[in-house]
Amino acid sequence: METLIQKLKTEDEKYLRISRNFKVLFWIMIIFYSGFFIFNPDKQLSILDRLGGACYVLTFTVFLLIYRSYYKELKSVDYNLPTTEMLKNVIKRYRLFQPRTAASIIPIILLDGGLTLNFIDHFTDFEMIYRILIVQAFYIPVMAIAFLIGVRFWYKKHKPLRDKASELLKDFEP
Amino acid sequence: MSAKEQQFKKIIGENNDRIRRVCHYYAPNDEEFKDIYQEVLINIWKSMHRFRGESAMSTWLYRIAVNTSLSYTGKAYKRLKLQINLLDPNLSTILDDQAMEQKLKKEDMMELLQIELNQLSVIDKALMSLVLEGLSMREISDIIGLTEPNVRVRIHRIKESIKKNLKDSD
Repeated sequence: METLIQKLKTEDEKYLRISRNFKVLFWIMIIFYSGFFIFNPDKQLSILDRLGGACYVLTFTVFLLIYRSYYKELKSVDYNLPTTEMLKNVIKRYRLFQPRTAASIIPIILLDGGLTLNFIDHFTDFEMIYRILIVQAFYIPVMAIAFLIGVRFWYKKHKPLRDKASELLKDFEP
Repeated sequence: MSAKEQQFKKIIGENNDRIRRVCHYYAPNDEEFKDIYQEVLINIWKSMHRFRGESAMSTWLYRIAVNTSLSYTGKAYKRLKLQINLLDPNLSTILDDQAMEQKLKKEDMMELLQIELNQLSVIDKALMSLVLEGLSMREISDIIGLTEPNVRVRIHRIKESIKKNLKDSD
């Protein structure tokens, strides 16, 4: 018999590991991209490349902060709070749109800025506005697909946990 | 033996009867009792570092036992039964009625009470299990997380409904 708490623990522990790994990954990316695009003395690097690199570094920094707060949130999860409080926390933790979902818009825009700045030099046959549009034509669908995969994953994996907690909490209501 | 193991043994040693009783309320058979009991012990072991003494140890243990039992999913959740027996020292608190309590001692009445209790929702069963433990309304509200007046009203309603049904079938 698998309990809701067992399922939650498995899921929370998995995301605790993932967020810890992402923290490490983003630290590596920040150091690598800072060295390659910002502090690199290579004169062949254009100002656009350096600005694009700065956008990547900022993207990874914001993602690092998001994952750090997620890690802290997961680390403080307590399954032995009063029952209703514990269930409310589960519902909050497993909702589709979190404050960090909104916060992710910042690095997504920064990443778009970085890619645009880095790639507009590659489409020299086009006018500037078209160069920007070409990058967007790739970036926006990729992000939209990533978002849809995320929603589908939430629907399959997290929604059942949230629904079960909501169902239990509803039973408590007078 | 590590300090954590010693502390765990001490907690279980001092509260084993309490934990076993709560698990028994929810377990329809020995097999499921073992599952729930084991799960509760695992949860105690994993959560020991979180106990900061803000509530009584007993309250904290009841929370673990109730949260674990209530979180059983699927068929197991729907099958969750509240098992009582004549030796429960707080059985009389369910009825608050002396004449009824006398009748309870007859086995068929006890069976009726058992049926009535098992017709309650899972949450109400959890509340009644805590009543059977002789806990105060304040302690129950601390475990479940509902306000004290809310717990009081809810338990009163459950008791009234059980009493009415028992009288009707008498």
